[in-house]
Amino acid sequence: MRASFSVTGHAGLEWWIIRITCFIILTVMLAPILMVLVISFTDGDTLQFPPPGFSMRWYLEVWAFLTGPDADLVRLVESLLISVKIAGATAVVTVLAGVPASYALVRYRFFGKTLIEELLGLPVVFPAVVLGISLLVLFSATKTDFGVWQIILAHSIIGLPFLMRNCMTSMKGIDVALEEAAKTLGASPVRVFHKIILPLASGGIASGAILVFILSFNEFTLSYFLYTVDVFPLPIWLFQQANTSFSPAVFAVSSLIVAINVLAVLVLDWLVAVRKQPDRQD
Amino acid sequence: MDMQRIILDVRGLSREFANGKVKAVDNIDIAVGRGEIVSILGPSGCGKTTTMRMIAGLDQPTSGTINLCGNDVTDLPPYRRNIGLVFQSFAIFPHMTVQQNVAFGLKMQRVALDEIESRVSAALDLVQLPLSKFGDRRSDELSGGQLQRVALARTLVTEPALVLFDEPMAALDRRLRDHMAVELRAIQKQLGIAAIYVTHDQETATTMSDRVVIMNSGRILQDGTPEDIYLKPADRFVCEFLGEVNILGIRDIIQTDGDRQLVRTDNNIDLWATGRRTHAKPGMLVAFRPEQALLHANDPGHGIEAKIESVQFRNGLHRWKVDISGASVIVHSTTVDRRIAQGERAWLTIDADKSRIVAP
Repeated sequence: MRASFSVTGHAGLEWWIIRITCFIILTVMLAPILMVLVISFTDGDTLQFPPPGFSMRWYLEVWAFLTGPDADLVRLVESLLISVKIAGATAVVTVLAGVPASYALVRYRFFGKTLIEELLGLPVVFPAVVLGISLLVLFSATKTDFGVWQIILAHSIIGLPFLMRNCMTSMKGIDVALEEAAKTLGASPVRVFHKIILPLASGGIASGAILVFILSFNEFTLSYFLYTVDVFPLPIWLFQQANTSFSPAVFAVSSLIVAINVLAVLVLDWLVAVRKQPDRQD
Repeated sequence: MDMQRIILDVRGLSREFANGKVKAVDNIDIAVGRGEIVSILGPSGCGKTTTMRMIAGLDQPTSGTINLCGNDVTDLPPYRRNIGLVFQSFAIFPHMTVQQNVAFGLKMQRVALDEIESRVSAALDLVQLPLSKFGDRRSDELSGGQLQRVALARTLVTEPALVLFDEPMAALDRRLRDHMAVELRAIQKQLGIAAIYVTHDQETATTMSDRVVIMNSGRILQDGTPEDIYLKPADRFVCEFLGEVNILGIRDIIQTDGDRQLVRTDNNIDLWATGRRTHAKPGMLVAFRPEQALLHANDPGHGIEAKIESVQFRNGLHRWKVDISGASVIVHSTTVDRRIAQGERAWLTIDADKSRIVAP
């Protein structure tokens, strides 16, 4: 790589400009997260940077939140579980709705198809605040309370396009002849979907589902409008804590959230790698 | 063909697109008997693939009927037809092993597991891919020829009433193609299955099949044995599609003797020609193949005077380009009369039953 760049002076200069730009961008992006990580290991009582010394005391504090006698009072466990529950349910809902819808969009022509495809891009740019207000108004005006399902529904609305994009990309890659071959071999449309489409699109479906899980797990704006005393997702908990007691424990929890996200991304990468393996052998 | 032996009987089949503006297939009839392999031959866009897809049930005809073993299957979905299809791309399921691919159809038919095992093994033996060696491989671990064998085994194992081949040789190189064509033909004869072979390659079509159906612009131009369509073509398109041919326009009919006629061509040559069904009329054509004309150093009595323009030697054949009264024609010969040299006169003769009267 470098040998080819050093052939001319200009190419070498460009190479350095690219490296420095990347370095600056990555630093700006990662600095706040790194700061959170560093401060979470402080041995002081306040949010000092750089920390006076390092310890695990705030993680022990968080551990006490999770397991100690005050656990019920702090409600961290409850928030964590509800967030996982919401994210899991959102992933399941979007898969159930999005996979058949993706297949229909990829394989069939019907009235309004282009409109639906355009609408799929909307939630990506649609302001979440507006959606949050609309849903809040809708639920209060109709005097309905679906509890945790309100947030699951809201998250599904913004998560569905992400799932469907992943899903449609992998479905578009499936040769129609494979489906037709299965049909001539005696497979009904339902079995073609089950035996051919689902296995071949599984990578896209799984990565889409993980993406939706992360999206829902981290989602703040919609949750803020729709949370109740009983349904109190982790980002809301963190926000409340940060507002009331600005202790390094908040940063320790944040670090844990970052860890969960990194883990999900790793699983996603692994899925993509597994999906690409057959191509590599070609 | 008696009724007992007819496997597939297609009547008046049509397929229109764009609200009838485009007729991809226009009122065609095709019959295939037990143990018979019929090629549908034509250039791309002639409607052969649409015809095949309608027979398989992957496309719906605008009108017409498809009968399979005496049952009307026109409105049946593909998975209830019992018609096998070997795809051009082979369409081997990439997420399954060779064994799972071949077993797929039997699983769909809910055949008992131990029977599936023995039938898959037998089918793979038939295409010379032993289960023990190839059973666990996936499509990315197989060569083009092996993929085709898997596709063939996967189709044959379900014992379909009719097998359709959609240009299955197109993806293979020439040598492998010839080899697979011979093998495919042998397997087809061995099992006695009825088959339709769709292709644009006239060489494969004529070597593979009992009958060839020539299609163009959605219509069937001719349906006959490979010899028939080559030696007795119906019209100019069929002549030209099946190889090199010399064509002269007919100006007048001088004499008629049964199905033979003495015709005068546009360039004032009189020659005897034979018609397929109809008698010649002015405006029709007379056609002969380069290897069916003979060149003589001296006039044998009824020869057409010709001037040699050029000669080339290629693949054991001398290709003569000669001028007969202003028309340039090609003549092939395996031997050369030393006295016929370039630029000199020669005489050309064609048997009356080998120069054919064809529709324009």
